[in-house]
Amino acid sequence: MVSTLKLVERQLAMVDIRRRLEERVPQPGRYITYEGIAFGPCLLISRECGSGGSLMAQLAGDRLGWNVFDATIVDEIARSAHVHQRLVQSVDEHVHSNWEQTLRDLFSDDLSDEGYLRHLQEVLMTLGHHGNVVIVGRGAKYLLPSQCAVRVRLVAPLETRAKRVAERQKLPMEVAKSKVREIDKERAAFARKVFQKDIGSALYHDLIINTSKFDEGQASDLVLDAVKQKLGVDSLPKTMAASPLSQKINSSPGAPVDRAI
Amino acid sequence: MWNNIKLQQCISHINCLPQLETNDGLIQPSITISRMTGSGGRTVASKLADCLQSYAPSERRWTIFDRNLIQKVLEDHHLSARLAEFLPESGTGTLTEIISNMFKSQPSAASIVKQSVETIWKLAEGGCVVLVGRAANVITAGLNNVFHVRLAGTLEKRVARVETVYDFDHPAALRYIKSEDMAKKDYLKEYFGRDIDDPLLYDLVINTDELSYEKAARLIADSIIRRFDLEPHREVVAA
Repeated sequence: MVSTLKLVERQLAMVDIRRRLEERVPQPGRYITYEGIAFGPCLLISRECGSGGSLMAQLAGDRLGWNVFDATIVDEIARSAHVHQRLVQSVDEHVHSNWEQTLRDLFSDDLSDEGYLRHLQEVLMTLGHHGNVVIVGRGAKYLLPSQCAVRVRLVAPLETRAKRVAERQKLPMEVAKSKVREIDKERAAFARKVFQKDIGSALYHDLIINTSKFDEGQASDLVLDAVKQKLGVDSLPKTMAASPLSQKINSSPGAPVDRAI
Repeated sequence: MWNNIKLQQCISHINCLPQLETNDGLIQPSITISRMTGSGGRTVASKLADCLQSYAPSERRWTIFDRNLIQKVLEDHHLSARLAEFLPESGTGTLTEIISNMFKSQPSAASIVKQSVETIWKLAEGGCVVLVGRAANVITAGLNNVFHVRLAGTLEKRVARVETVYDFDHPAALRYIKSEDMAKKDYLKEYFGRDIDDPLLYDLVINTDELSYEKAARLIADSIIRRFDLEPHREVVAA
């Protein structure tokens, strides 16, 4: 939990710096809604289990200089009243009241004010509003305006993904395969239940990458090209990216390994 | 628009293929593009060929074969014969085997479909082609030099484009898109037993709702340049 709070503090410090810069020079990749609320730039990663989502998020985050909020971290923030409050109170009151209506329109009676889902959505909206962030999973692509983000989905054949999971977690292949299937099923059910969406549809993504056809470097270069093309945001060259400090903070020590694949 | 999608260019491309076997030692990539109707298949193909031209060997020209042009090649016996000459001996066995396996459960598949498999395979194997539609992604799935792309988009945006490009009113555009999409889906299902929306049939799926055709083409081109380690040819380097 400490590292989650640290990550939130770090993100808010970056937001503060960005706001000051924005007063002098407009920052690329910001999208302003009709209501005048700014979002982005964000990289939103959705993934089949074992398709390399965590690694992609880390590689892209390092080269963009953006913090990575994976599904476990986002969940931790949503479940911790203290951390959730620290993040959400960083949003101006008028922005927050505008979201109230958006969330009510989207989710009607399904959400109690203090419920986990309600917090989850506030966390995702806040992260999206502040921008300069990589978010992995949790349906951020359905909540945030599509113009503020590059929405990527990673897929690969079941065999390939199960093999990766089996190697990483030292599991027999058959066990890995059924684990992969189970996690995919859970994620699809979450998207269907909370957002009434088909998780794999090409219509909610800018890119779907078959990671069995690319090596890690090629796939992350492709994603960063898309960030440049769609949002106008440049990334650092490979040699200048990846500070061990950001990797340490970004990885959540409490995260179950199999959820972070 | 689409000024590099021409039969004449396809004829020149095919006529040059047999000679390339001897003097073109390097593997040249090919690209297949599958697309939802109205998502920009031909425009992206056209821009992609332009982007990649400076990376082709100096004697080669990136050539686009869309559905109509593939049909014309199939109907022209001279072109088909010319194409047959290109097929290397070692490849003949593989291709025959692949075609027979592909249609194992469909022995009665129309001979025109079998011919198109052969044609598409040979064109892709020769490199420097963009093949639009005709199940080219499934047909060439076994070739290492081929990069497979699908273009997608929301119905709303695709209808708007079709209205502009073909000067249709809204209901006509909607009807056109639905019937074309259904025909493409059925063709793949009926003859190849595959689902056109399965992302695993492609290396990359791009949604052109918010990425312009130019940018989509650039993304694909850069990916191909990296995958196949292509380098610009001398004139470009000198320039």
